[in-house]
Amino acid sequence: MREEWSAQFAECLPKLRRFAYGLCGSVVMAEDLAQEAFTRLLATDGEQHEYLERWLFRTVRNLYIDQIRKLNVQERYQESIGALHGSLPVTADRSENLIALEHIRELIAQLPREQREVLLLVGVEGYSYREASEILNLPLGTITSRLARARGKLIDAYAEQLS
Amino acid sequence: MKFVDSRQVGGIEIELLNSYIDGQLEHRSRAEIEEILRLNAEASNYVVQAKKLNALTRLSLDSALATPDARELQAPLNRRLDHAQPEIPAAERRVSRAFWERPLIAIAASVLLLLSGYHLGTLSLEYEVERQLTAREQQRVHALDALAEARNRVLEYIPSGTIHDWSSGDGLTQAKLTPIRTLRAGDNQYCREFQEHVSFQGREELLRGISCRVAKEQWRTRFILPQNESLKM
Repeated sequence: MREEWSAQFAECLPKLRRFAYGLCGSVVMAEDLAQEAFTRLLATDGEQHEYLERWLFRTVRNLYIDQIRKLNVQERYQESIGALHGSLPVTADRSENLIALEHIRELIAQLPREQREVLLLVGVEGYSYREASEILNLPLGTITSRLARARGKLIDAYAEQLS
Repeated sequence: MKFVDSRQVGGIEIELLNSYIDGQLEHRSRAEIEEILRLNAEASNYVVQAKKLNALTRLSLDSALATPDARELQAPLNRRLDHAQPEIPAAERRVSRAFWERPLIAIAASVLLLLSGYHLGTLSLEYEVERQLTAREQQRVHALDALAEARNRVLEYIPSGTIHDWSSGDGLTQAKLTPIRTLRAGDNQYCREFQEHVSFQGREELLRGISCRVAKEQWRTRFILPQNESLKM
């Protein structure tokens, strides 16, 4: 049984990492969240195995919210992002396109968390509105209105950046 | 115009357009919206922008998770999972490890095509293109990988000023690759400026770039820029 969950977890891990990273903007924290989600999965005895993927996304999101509530992690992670960025190769892989991608990440990070998580689930991961409302435990109407705000802001900000 | 405070674009409810973009509509309603979009430049522009940003957001997150530092961080959990899993034949495993294992430069290249691709053709065409984005993005990625290999060989062996015609195995992508000149970047490193005229599924692009030699038949692209006037944002 355990092996089976691990295989399923491994399969959705790239998506889960992407979601976690999109939420928190830190590769370090995203990895912590993914690891913690795995640990929790092993501790649950498989009661959620039917909707494992959704359960994992919900867990990562809730863990993230706990984290930012608990202490001033934002600051702590900002520091570690700084450290990580500093150690990246400066010229070799940094074509203009990668810089363009960095701008996009900044725009995402500027969205309020409530809007960002909806955009990540629906726009990036391709969940339906209903699935997103189950993962986030929000009414459907809230999903659609947050998505509209997030998308509108992002398109506006992107256009502004180009002009 | 500002989208964030609008309820409508081109006379159509934004939430309806979003439902269309996110695949929430039934077949019939989809077809109706598509009919409207053909004639409604404003709404069709919104759809194009929203989908483009979906794709860019995804790429931007993936690219941050594919750096050497990020992979190092991810290694312990990956190892834990490798141990915990039953043996999976290598072939199947390759399929499940998709995008995030691709080299950064391939990601960068797909962004470039993604960005420039949106500015070819008319608005109504853009919308048609948009509809097939996901499938095309995958084809593009394959084409780009193949093109990158061809570029490596051209840069390694073809003299400057010579045009090399290349075509992908499936015949979907053609390119004319021309090294322009060779530069020496200190410490015996060689870089070459090159031009690429790429034709992918009927779309044409003229690109100019600089690549530097890392090892035999291995070149790292430093800059690659679209040359067409029409590609400017």
